[in-house]
Amino acid sequence: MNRDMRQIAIACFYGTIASSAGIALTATSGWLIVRASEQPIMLTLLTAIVAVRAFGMARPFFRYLERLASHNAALSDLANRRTDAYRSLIPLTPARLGRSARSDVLAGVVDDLTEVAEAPARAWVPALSGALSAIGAAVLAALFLPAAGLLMLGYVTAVAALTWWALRGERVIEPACAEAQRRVAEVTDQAAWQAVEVSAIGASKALAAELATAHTNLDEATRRQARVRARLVAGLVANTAGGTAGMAWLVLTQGLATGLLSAPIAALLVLLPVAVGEAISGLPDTVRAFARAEAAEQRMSRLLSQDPAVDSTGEAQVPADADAPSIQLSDAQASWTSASASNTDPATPSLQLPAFRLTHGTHLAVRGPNGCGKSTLMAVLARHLDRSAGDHTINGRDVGELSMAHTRELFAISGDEPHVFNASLAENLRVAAPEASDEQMIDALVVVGLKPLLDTLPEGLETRLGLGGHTPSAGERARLALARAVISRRHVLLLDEPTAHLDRGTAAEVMERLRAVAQGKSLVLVTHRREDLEHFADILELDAPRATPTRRSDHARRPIIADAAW
Amino acid sequence: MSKSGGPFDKRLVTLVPSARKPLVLLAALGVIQGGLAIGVAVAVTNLVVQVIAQGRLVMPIASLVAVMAARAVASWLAETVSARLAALVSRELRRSLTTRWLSAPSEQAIEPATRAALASQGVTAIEPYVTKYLPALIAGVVTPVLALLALLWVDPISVLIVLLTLPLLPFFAALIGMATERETQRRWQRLADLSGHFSDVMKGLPTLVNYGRAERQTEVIAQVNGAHRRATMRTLRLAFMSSAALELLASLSVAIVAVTVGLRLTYGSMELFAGLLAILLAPEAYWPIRKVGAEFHAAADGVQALDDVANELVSDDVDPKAEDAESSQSAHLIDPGGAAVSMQGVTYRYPAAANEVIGGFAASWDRGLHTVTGISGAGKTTLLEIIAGLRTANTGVVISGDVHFVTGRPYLPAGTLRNALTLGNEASDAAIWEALQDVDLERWAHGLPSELDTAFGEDGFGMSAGQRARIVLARAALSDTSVILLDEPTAHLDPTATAQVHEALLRLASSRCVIAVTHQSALMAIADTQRELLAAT
Repeated sequence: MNRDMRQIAIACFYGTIASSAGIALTATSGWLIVRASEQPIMLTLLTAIVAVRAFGMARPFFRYLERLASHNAALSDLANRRTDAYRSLIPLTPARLGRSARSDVLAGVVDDLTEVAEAPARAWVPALSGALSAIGAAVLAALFLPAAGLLMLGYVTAVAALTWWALRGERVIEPACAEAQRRVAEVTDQAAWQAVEVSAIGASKALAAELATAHTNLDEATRRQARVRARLVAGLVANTAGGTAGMAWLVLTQGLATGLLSAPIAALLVLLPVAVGEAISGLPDTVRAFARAEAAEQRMSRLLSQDPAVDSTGEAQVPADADAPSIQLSDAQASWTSASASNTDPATPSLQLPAFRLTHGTHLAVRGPNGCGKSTLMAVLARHLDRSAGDHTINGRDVGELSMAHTRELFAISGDEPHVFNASLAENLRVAAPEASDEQMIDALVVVGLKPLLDTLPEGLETRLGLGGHTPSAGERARLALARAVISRRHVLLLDEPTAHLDRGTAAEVMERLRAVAQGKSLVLVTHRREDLEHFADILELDAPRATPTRRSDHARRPIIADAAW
Repeated sequence: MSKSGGPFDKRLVTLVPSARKPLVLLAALGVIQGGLAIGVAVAVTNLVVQVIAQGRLVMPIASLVAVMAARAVASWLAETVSARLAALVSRELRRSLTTRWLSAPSEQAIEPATRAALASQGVTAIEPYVTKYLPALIAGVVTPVLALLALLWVDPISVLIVLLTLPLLPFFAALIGMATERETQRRWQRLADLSGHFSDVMKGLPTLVNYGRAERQTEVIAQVNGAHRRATMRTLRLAFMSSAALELLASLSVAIVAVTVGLRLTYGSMELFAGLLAILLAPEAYWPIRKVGAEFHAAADGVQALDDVANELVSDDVDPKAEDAESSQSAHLIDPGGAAVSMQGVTYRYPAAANEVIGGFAASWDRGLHTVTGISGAGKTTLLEIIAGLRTANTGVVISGDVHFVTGRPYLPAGTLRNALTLGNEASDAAIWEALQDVDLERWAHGLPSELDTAFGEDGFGMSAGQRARIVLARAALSDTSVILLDEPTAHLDPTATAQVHEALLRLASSRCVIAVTHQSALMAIADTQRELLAAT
């Protein structure tokens, strides 16, 4: 961190020299031309000629050094921030990332990190080096004519005021802009993913109208943003006009008329505001970068400041008969919202979990309406989410006393948002079982019905998935996640609608093979399919939610704080 | 990028015709701004000369303030117009894309993830091309020409020097570009891999946590990020060096102008005004060209995205015609208000498939409840999609009334109950309550905290499967179509919910032609006709 600060300071130093060289180039050129027109001996001009050349070459050279230093600092800052954010996200995953679209939340963090890390290179360094070189110009002016120094100071103050005004505006608009962009993305996503479903019910026009509304809001936000930016741009030009006019009058009345200044110096001073104006012409971009980085930082700190959803202080080993874990829940409640975050949304309901008992080797089916707490139950069982009240024991020991890592190793959970890594099929499976042999992997693929896919892949298990390889369909992704659960050899399988993406025939086959694989293990299956239930002796029926549905629509992308659970 | 031809991609105007006017306005503003840049140089020179001559400052100051004020206004306008243009372009492109997706037959559908990326990040990437690159391009052409013309007026010798040195810039830019291009191409794949790694691991974090592998990745992330930084810096160093080299070249060229001006001033063969103006104008001839280069790299993603959007919007229109050549025998006639569907000799083959999935299918359904059954893969859903016009049959004739199609996973975005029920129709509250009564959900809806304004999550999160199934039936009833198609309406329902759906279906069938694809014998039992779809061989 300290190293980065030094890098940024160095970048500011180079940037100040580069900006000052630019200002000096214009000013000394003016001096040189006027002095030359006085037809002196050529020798007296040589120093100035060398100076002009030096300034002209120093500007690109130091600009180059500045950009290298600031980007190097930004990139190493980005690397550190990424590692830190990743580390802080581990205890928050998955429960504190919201109930759905978790990968969107995580993708948002990736973008926000970049935005924050780029702030020094795009905002701090240009702003500071611009300010320092402008102050330097004011000092230079004061050396020749104190009143001119004061005028330049006024000029710089006006720039600062304009910048502050614009920054204030950008700060207000940025969140509205981000929200409008999010909404546009949400609606276009619906059109991209559900085009058939939408046109099937004749709702194409309704969706088009939604998109138009979302874009109208975005247009409004960007228009306000453009207005702020345009005001700053115009203000800076006007300020330079005023500065130049004032300087000309000052130089004439206080300098030339009194004989205090020579003509070449007079030219230098009159050109100064124009030169400074050029050096700070990038300010509007700087202001925008500031506002964006701030908004990104706020979003991230809201996410990362949450309490973990699980207590990881327990250290006890899972009791010796863990091969046969017997799990019990009684009077348990759980909430998806962090206690620290719920200040903003005090009405977050806690969900009452059913009395639950699972002895080793039991196969249990869970059914009930959407939102009745099936996924919450699964998350609590897998220790992704700790209960907020009641009892939760494994082999009679309270889970809070048990090592979280060890407890989690008992469970394989296949959920609703399976991720396929941009790596080979084998590596994707080894995430769940690092030691797995090729035969074991092929067996797992057979169980989930992916053997036909494997046979078509050009390099078999070593075929790369995703970018630059085979892009799996939604159904293939779900089954790959299932294959991970199968190959993990964990004692309890928690499967949430594992066959939802499959057609009936395949679904029945996959279920049959899954039950066979799970012989001797515990299996908890959440399902909507009636035919699945026929094979289960134990069925847990859950009631409709007692808590009332609350507004959910507003929090689709970042359902961190206000996403109610029931 | 390479396909777009000249520096300005004309497809932008083809794709978004309404962008023509603001584009012309922006170009005009670019010309005006170029002229004003020259004007500022003249006014500043005039002011300096007057100050030194200790003359009257009123006129020079007034003219400087006037030119600068005009420049402020022009900048203000240019910012506003370019922001509006960017908003207009992204709005129109997204509108065209979604309209296309919502109306094009399913055969032409590309992968949804590709669509989503195209419409969000892709379209957003076009904005810098419009707001930054195009104005820079205009300034890059206009300002040097105007600067040279003004220079011609005061000092023709300097014009000669600029004309001789100016071509060096594009020449060197091309040389440097060629050298870096090879280097960048070589590194591109590795750089993309490195920068994609973190995002991939982040999105997979829930999976990694699930299997206790998250902590182990921390070190890998640190390593990859380090490698990413080094690789990026190598690329950046080249890029920064080439832009520094160009700036240096421009600086040296300006210096040559300045030296000749200085010499001529010293020998008294030139006026101060001309000399000063020449050295203020000379840089104006060089910097816009460098700016075009810089912005072009920034806008390169946008050009690529424009290419992708254009391909999706334009070239696909050609494909159906090519397909039509062999499938022109099919016709789909709409008989508004007719509560009937008839099909004659309908065959269908998936675009990439060798065999027909539906072969020579004929049927005739009118008012009442009809079921279609068949084994998995027999093409039942495809048949419904053909009737709904979502797919185009290869041969045969389809005649149907207006169709409302309840798909296997019906569209239920997050929002209020009223919103869910009025998608695709404009029903009044009274009509909504009546429809709810018909599916036996009136009491339930009255019990909700905000009745029709109660919000539910995506896919009806918060409703039971049975409630969801009846909500989409109520919505079907509210549509004024005479034909209603359903894909497995009772697939995941318990006996009670199934009975409620059956009742609602029968009520619908009393006035409309209802065709349901199903496996459930109970549903077949209450239907007026049953039809089995055999797999075509």
